[in-house]
Amino acid sequence: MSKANDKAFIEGDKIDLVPLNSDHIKLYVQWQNHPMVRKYARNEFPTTIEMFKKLFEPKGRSIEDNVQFEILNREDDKAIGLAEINNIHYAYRRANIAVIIGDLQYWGKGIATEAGKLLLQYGFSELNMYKIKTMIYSPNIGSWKVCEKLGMEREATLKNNGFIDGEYFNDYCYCIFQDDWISKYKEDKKK
Amino acid sequence: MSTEEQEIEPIPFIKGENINLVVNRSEWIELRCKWVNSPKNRMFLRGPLPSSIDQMKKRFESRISEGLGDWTGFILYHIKDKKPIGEVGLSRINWINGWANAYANIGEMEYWNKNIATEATQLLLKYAFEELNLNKVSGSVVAENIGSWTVAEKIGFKYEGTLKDAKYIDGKYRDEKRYGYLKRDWLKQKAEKNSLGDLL
Repeated sequence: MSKANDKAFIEGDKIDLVPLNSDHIKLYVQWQNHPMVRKYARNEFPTTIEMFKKLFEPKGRSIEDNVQFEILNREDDKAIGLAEINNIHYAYRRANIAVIIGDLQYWGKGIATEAGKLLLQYGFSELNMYKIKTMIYSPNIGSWKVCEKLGMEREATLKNNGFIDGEYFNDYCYCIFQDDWISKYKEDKKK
Repeated sequence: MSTEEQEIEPIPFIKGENINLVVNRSEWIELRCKWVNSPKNRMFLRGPLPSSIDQMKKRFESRISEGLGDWTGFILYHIKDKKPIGEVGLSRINWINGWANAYANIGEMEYWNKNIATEATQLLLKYAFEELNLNKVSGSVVAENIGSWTVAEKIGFKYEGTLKDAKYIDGKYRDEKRYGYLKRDWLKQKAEKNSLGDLL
């Protein structure tokens, strides 16, 4: 475990999830628009700085239907990506999770897996969600391997649901339930 | 058919036996003002302060843009008499704790003591537990408001405790009784009712 971080909202091992920082908007927007990062991230349209700034404005709702974090690498105290719980439906108690690692240097280091784990733990143990899901395009092998490592189950395949580089691709729906996550999390802690 | 705008019968959002829970309308604002300002009625309700029509309008409009809020409410519409007679709703909803506070107000006093509050609250609880998926609904009643807490107990709310001198009403501090209803008790009661239905 690397050094502790006083900005952390959720503490992890290699990374922390910290609140979004309006000083980092340029960085966030760069990630969102980067061809390699956005390829499987469903960002078909450009995100402007002004669009992202809107996220920081108060919404007049009593409770948000999405919660976003910056992923902070503990070792070098660097913002490297975004992690969010979105489409929160409070009556059905279900939500969707999404992670992007914007800084390509940090790919292939298990960061998305850890970010996913922290999001699931937060969603189930703090937001009291019943079911959490995520959608992964079939050629995005890295991401659906992450889902499987997290104990998520592929519950459905939506045929030709996405269009990337001129081709249609299937979409995998992965999901996990609160009880299953909590018992898995306890088991993992014992080990 | 005349081209004049006709009074449209409100569609029940939740159907009851004697009353329906219907969606609020801007043309009922004056009526609701009358209900909350009437001395006999407001005695055991929240505020000792008057509600103007303008304030009520503002509150009504602010809820249009709110999205997912911490409040939801209905107008009680008397089926046979075809008129709005009161309000019922959930306030201070906390979606993470799965909790809300229930309130009911029969504004038209000729409908008091006719089991309207009982029916309305039961419809509201069904909505809270079976549609909104809440885990607990609470209610607080001033101790002197015997009618209301008798209704609460009849419906199956459990008494949880008394807050001493919680409200200052009509020249005196008064105790407030707190009641709670858990979803698991609601489901149990429902299962018992159903099995009774099978026997009959």
